[in-house]
Amino acid sequence: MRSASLLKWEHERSAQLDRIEAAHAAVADAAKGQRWATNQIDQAYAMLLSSQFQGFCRDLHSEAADALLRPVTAVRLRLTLAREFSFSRKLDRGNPNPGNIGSDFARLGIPLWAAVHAHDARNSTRLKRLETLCAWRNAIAHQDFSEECDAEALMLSLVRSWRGACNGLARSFDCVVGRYLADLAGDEL
Amino acid sequence: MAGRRKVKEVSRLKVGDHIRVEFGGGLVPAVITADRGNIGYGGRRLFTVRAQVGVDPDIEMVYELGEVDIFDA
Repeated sequence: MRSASLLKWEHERSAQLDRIEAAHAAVADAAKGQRWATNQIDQAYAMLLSSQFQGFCRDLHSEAADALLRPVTAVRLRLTLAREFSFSRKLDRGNPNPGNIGSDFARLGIPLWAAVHAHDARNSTRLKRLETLCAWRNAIAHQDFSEECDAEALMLSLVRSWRGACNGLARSFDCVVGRYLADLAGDEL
Repeated sequence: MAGRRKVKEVSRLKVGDHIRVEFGGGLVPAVITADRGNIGYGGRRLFTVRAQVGVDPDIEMVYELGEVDIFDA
């Protein structure tokens, strides 16, 4: 069964990203051949993609933590664990980079990246793309571009490739977290 | 064709509410800082709370709870 977090990613969050795709198309039509007109939208698209993926990862973490807490009937123990599971969660503040994601899910006892790599061989490439997206996200947010993240080089096709990677990773995250919970508590998300 | 009306889910809680949560065997003051929506297990609604857990106001904890674990101030 798909998690509520994945459904939200595939519908609500995806619809938000589609809107900026539409904005890109509208501006591209109006200003044919003028890359500067769409470059700012591409930058905004990359930022939004990063933030929506961060939101998905945070949602999945919350959902998994809540599922782990469900069998704990002793109220005080349950609330103590609830505090512990989300204490200093990196995804509340930091980018959805592989380190932050892995660290937060490790708090739930989930070796996420090892499981994600085993789940789908394409996830190695997706992971690299996520790292690139996060590097670009920082360059745009801080307006601190470099040779690797040159503002002029950012194109719609690149952002779309990152979005495809996020889509694939989201499905894998959902699957491996669901399996982990099923193994641990006999119940999926 | 009549459009389908989306039924808004009602909660007694909203962002900014001053509430109380369990800590150390008692209830301590807290504030709801975010409504995370129905992303909890089985679609239950989760809220982010910021609780003051000590005498020192700097000692705060931010975490998530279901509505059932949140008490009125």
